[in-house]
Parts: sequence; C-alpha cells; structure tokens
Amino acid sequence: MKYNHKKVSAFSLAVIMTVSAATLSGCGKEESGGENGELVFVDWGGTNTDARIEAIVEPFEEETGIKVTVVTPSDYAKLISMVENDTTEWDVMNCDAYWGVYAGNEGYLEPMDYDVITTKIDEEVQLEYVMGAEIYTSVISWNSSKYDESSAPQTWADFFDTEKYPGKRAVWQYPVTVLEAALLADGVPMEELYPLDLDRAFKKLDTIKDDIVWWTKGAEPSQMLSTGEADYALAWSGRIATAEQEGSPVDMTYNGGIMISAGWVVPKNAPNRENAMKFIEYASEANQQFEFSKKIPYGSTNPDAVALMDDQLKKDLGQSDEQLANEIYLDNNYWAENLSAVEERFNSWLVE
Amino acid sequence: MLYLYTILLIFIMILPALVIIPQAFTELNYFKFPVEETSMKWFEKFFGNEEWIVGLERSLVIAVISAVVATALGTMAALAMNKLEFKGKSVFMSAMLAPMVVPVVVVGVALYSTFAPIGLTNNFAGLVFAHTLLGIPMVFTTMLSGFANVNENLELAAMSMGSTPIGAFFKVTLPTVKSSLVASVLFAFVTSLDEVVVTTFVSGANTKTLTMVMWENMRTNIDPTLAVAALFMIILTLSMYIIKEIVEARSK
Amino acid sequence: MPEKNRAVVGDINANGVPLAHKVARVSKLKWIILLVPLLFVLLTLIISMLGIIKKSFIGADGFTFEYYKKIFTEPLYIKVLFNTLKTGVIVTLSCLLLAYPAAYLSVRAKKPIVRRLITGGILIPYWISMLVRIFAWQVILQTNGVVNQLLMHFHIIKEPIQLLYTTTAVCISMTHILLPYMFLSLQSNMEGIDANLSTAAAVMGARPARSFVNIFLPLSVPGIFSGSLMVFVLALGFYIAPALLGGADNMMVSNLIEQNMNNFNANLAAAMSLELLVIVFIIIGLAFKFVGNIFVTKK
Repeated sequence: MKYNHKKVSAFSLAVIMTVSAATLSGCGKEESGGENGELVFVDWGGTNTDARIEAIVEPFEEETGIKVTVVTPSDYAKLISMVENDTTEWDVMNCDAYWGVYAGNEGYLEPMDYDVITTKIDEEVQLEYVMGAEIYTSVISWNSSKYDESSAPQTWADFFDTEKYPGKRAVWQYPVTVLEAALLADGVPMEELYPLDLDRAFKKLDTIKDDIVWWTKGAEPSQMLSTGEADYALAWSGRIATAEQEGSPVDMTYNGGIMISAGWVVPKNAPNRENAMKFIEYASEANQQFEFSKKIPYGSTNPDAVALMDDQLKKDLGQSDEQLANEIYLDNNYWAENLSAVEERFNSWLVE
Repeated sequence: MLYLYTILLIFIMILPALVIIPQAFTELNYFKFPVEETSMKWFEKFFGNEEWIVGLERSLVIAVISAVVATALGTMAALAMNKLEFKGKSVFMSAMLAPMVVPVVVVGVALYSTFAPIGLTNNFAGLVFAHTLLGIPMVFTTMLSGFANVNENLELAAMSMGSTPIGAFFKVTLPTVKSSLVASVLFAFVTSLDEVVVTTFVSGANTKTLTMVMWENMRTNIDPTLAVAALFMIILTLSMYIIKEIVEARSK
Repeated sequence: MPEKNRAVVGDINANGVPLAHKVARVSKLKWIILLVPLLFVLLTLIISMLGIIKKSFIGADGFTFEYYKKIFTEPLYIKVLFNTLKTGVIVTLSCLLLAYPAAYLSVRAKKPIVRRLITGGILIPYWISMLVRIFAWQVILQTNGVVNQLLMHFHIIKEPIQLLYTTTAVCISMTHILLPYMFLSLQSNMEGIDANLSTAAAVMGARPARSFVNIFLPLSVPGIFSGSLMVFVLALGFYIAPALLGGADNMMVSNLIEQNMNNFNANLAAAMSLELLVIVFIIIGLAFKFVGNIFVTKK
C-alpha cells in the first residue's frame, strides 16, 4: 500500500510537471525586457486603460526604454496575497487612494520615493504611500430626457428631499462619499466634514432609504438612469460624462461633488521598484495628465495639467475655479483608518 | 399537459437570449427592448478590439482542455466512491466537493499561494489547473448519480462471459453513464467559461479570458458589445452541438 | 428501494462473489482512481486552504475564537447568513420543481427528436455568459421592461410594478442560471433507470401513477440529490446576481467575505468561509444519514 501510494503520487506529480513544462514551452515566447529594464503596470482595464496606454505608457516606453507590461484588472486581494507569499510580481498599481493609504499603513506597500518623484500635485493626494492619479467625482446626476437643471436636484439637500424631488435615487452601495453626501445634505459645512459624524449621517440616510436603489458597479448608474430605473443618481462623474458623450440621456452637476482620487501605489518588494517610481513621476507630470484627461473625462490631480486645459474641458471635468469652490476632496486618511469599521456599520444599516 | 408545461419552461429559459441577442444590433449604448434603431457599431467595436477576440479564443481553448481533464479526474473519483471499499468516504467526498463549496475569492487566494512560488501564475497551465479544479466537483456529483444506477448484474454478466473487469467497465458501464458523462463535460466547460474571480488571481498579462474582459468593463462601461460576445458564444457552441449531432448521425 | 428493484431484473451474481472483490483481484493499480483526483485537489487547493483556515483561529494575540464569536453573535452576520441559506433553499426547490417534469418527459418521450429539442431548449441559455444573462434579466424585469409591458398590454396591471432590485428578481435569475445543472443531473440519472422496470410494473398491474411513485421516483433520488447539492452549493456562492438584481437586503456571505479580504480582515473572511464549508458538509452528512449512502451501488 505504502509503496503504491508513493509511486502514484510521484506519477501524478510527474504528470503535472510534464504537462506544465510542455505548455509553458508552448506559449513561452517571453518578450525580452527593454534596454533599460522592465515594469509591470496594473490597471483596472476597459476604456480607462486604453486611454492610459496611449497617453502615458507608450510615450513612457519610448522616452525611457523601459519595457512596460500592462496587466488588468487591479485586484486588492491579489496584491495582499502577493505580498504575504513574498511573490510580488507587480511594480505599480492603480487603486483608490484611500485604499492605498490603508494598504500602506498595514505594511503592504513601498513608500513613494520623493527623490525621484519631484512633480508636485494636489497636497491632499500626495501622500506617503500613494501618489494621486486621476480624479473621479461622486456627483448628482439625472435622467435628462425627464428632467433638466431646473427640475432635477442640484444640491445634496435637494437629493435628500423626496417631497420636492420625488422618484428613485440610485446610490452607491458603499459608505465612501455616500456618508459625506448625507452630511452635506444635512447642512454640515464642507470644511467641518471630517471626522464624519456617523450617527448623523445614518440618520439622514434613513430619511431616503426607501427611495434608494443601490448600485455596486460603476457602470450601473448611467444604465439605471437611461432605462428609467432611477430618476437621479449619486454616480461617478467620469462614467456619466462618457455615457453622455455616447448619447445616453443623462446629465450631472459638479455642485457638491466629492472627489475621489485614484492613486499609484508600489507593492512591497516590487521587483522593479526604481522603474515604478520613474513611471509614477512620468505619469504625474502635467503634460501626461493633460493628455489622459483629454482622452477620457477624468479630472487631473496636477494643477499644472488643469492649467493646460481650455475652459470647456475644465468645466466638463469639474475643474474650473467656480466648480472647485463647491467640491471637496475625500479625506483619504480618514477612510484608511475607518473603512473597515464604517463599512461593517454601513452593511449592518443596510440589512436592518 | 406535460408537453405544454415543458414548452412554456423552454420559452422562459430562452427568453433572456431572445431579449439580449437583438441588443447586439442596437443603435443605443444601453440595453432597451425592443430594439428600435439598428446599427453595426457594436460589431465594429468588438472586432476593433483585439482583447475581445483573443480572449474569446483563449477562453474556448482553456475551457475545452480543462473540461476534458476535469471529467477524467472527477469520473475517477466518482468511480472510487462507487466501487472501492475504503474508510473515510465522507472525508473523500468532502475533499472532492471542496472546490465548489469554498467561496471563490478564497479559492483564488489559496491557488495563488500554491501556484505563485512554482511559477504557475500568468501562464496557460496554471489557468487550466485552476479551471480543472473548479470543474471536478461538478463532474464528481454528476457521475456519482450516474454510477448509482448502473446495473451491476450486467457488469457481472459481462465478466462471467469472459470480460475482464476493465473490459466490462468500458463495454457495459460507460455506455450506461454516457449521458452523465456528456453532462459532466458540459458543466466543467461552462464553469471554465464563466469563471472570473479565481481566474483573476491565477492569470496575468498573457492569459486574459473573454469573461475577464467583460468584467473589467463593469467598472467603467457596460455596453452592447456584451451582446455581440454573447451572440458569438451561442453561434460557436450551437455549431459545435450541430457538428456533434451530424457526426453521430453519420456513424449510425 | 433500489435493491428491491434490482431483484426484479434477476440476480445474475450467481457465485455470490461481491463485485468489489472481483475487481480487487485485478491489481492494486485500481487505487489510482482514488489517488489521482485526491492528490490533485490536495496539492492545488487543500494544503493552502489549511493555512487560510488557520487564520480564522489566530488573531493579533494568538489563538482566539473572536472571529467565530463575531459571526455567530452580530446581527449583520447572522442576517446575511440566513439570507444566503434562504436564497439557496428557494432556488434549489424552484429548480427541482421546474426541471423534474421536463427531465421526466425528455427521457420518457418515444421519439429521440423530442428529447433533443427539450434538452437543446433548456441548454441554450447555458451558453451565454452569466454576466450577460444577468443583464438580460435586467432588461426583462425593469420598470419599462418586457414583463411590465406585457402585463400592461393585457390590462393585468395599470402601473408598472417594481420587479427589479427585489428578492424575486434575484431568485428568478438564479433559478434561470442554475436550472440546467438540475435538469442535466436529473436527466442523466433518469436515463440510467431501466425503462423496463416501469413497463414490468405496468404489466404486473400497477397503475402508471403508482408505478411512478413507487418505482421511478425512488430510483431518481440520486439524481435529485446530486442536482440539488450542486444547485444549493453553487447558489450559496453567488453574489454577483444578488448585487446587480437585488436590493440591500440581498447581501450574501460571499459579499462580506470579499469585502473583508480587501479590508485586511482575512481572519474574519476565513471564519466565514469555514462556516459555509461546515454548513454544506453537515447538510451532506444529514442527507447521507436519512437517504443512506445512495451513491454506492447496493450489493
């Protein structure tokens, strides 16, 4: 029995090895690294990544001679596994900035090397472990075939006013920016938002709980608005703008917008850490950010990039001076410290 | 009565296909039924992006290989449950079902920590192993119930007429469980096609499947290209089915 | 009871040697069929799973039950678990009730073409990506969707009713997605039931309904069991369809597991995973106890 056992396990291992070896050599046309090394860059995929490759990755390869491999999608649990198994294969990843701060605090990231990264961006998103990339804003949006600016909610207070604005509201099934919106609606001034008054926020959310349809994926709200499943939505600006360009009956206002920054992070023990820092520096420079924002309607974290935009583009991205006066950056440090507890409380509130 | 009921059930089953296929030809960039104005722009988008086509091809190859391997392994396991006498059958059964019961994101983490140190991530073999693993429980459960109805007396009769047990297995047992085998292959195939969470953990730049391409768009952009992909899946699989039927009819 | 029915056909096992013993004489190589799949699952999944499960007992200060205490005492975790199980049961029962008659008809139909049409019809949607099917249900169930348009056209309702983002929508779509598993399990099992058995019963004077209840139904139990097991277990793991088609109260355990993995709470996620595993294995154990080990051919 024992003899057999050994033989069989050796056999099956051999089979596994042979098969993998054969398959590996079959598709093993490994591309050789560039003259100045390599970089594995991880992004969410879809149209964002397409735009990023044109605006940032390709010119970066040309200028530096570093060969970039683009991997999609960004995955938080996978990054955690990589670091825990000490098999990090990613060099730079695009993630939500608040999650980046969280991961950095937990010890999963390399700190930003500000000797290499010399570009200055908005101070709210230039952080120890994270460098802000593009901005997407939680905004008020509506079905433009049913409403216009005079009949749709224009402030968070309106959004929470079900008498004046009856109808279904599509809201992100996630506490980030939703609690902020509730507090702004309840009259908390922007500069006093953090730390969030959770009791007050949930009390305010209670008032519209029955009028909410929840969305979980960023592409959902524009669909919900277009098909009439929702009248108004708390949605991400970039997606609403794209849908509008493609002809969907949706519109939005940046008034009261809560800006979420995506950010660059470098996983712990990244194989090409130095190239990663060079890449982040390159991606943060005004010209590249400007090129990216021209291709896809996401705001820029670099004020010099905003300065390059014409007035129309600024307005489309919510980055004109008047608009910015009524918008606020998400407090990434607050969310990094409290995400876990607040998300649990949010879930408890949802299933109440 | 029974016929009427079955026709109704089939209608409901294919209703989503009837609703979604026309969306491939819509002029709008969201899903609305019925489709009023038509255009081919989503086909152009599908063919304009290499990711979709490469992903489709890759998905099919991986699904075919892992379905075959999973069917072999799962059938062996079911046969062991059925024919062998050993202690700890319930433990064995639990182990065979584990890949289906463990939440996918945990399977992803577990497989990653097995595969990453030996270089099985971001390659074809790793994906095939992962999808095979996920297919095994489906095959195992299906084949268990298939073997449960095999008439042992026929196997014994074959053996008493001079067949070896292995010969009896291939001559008598396998033909009896043929439809279970076909069902097993289907389950494993579709499991592989639809899988996205574990795939994300195991795959990398060179192994993106069609389903991953679809899911990535979820964060930013859902549009009728999805319907085009669905249309091609149906055409491909239906033609496979028809070819199988023709081959079978010819061989008779 | 299966063994009784076998006796109808007649016991050819004349010399009384149990088959397993006869097979055993072939060679010790037969253990390959046990070991190869077992090793594959052990090497790829189970060994690294053990490390993850360990995490559910190890907190910042060593061994702890705090994660289990949390998931068994806090209302959020209890409610979500309850909802997950409830959804699983509803979907399993609907799949079984809907698929059984169709599967029965398909194996009993005299013409092979009928069988092919039924099988083909039920399997067509199976080829469409799950994601696409979820969107299809959105189109069907939405306020201006197919169902509401039909109901209004026939003046059954005056105002569109809310179907989307409800538990009903979740159960409909999950039943639709999982029904092929049930159908094929039942059908492949029923194929194996010797059609002669019922004929024999009919000849001996049993009425069709009685021969169905007394003979066919008991023999189809393995198919019911394997189909239900697959559907139930797969349903427990669903979370995309509930998230896209359901409301806030359709949260599933897998949602919480994923969120906790992203939030660096692997311990809690591991505890919830083990909880699901244990529940499924208890159910399998109970089924074995009540139905007997139905998968092992009776001697």
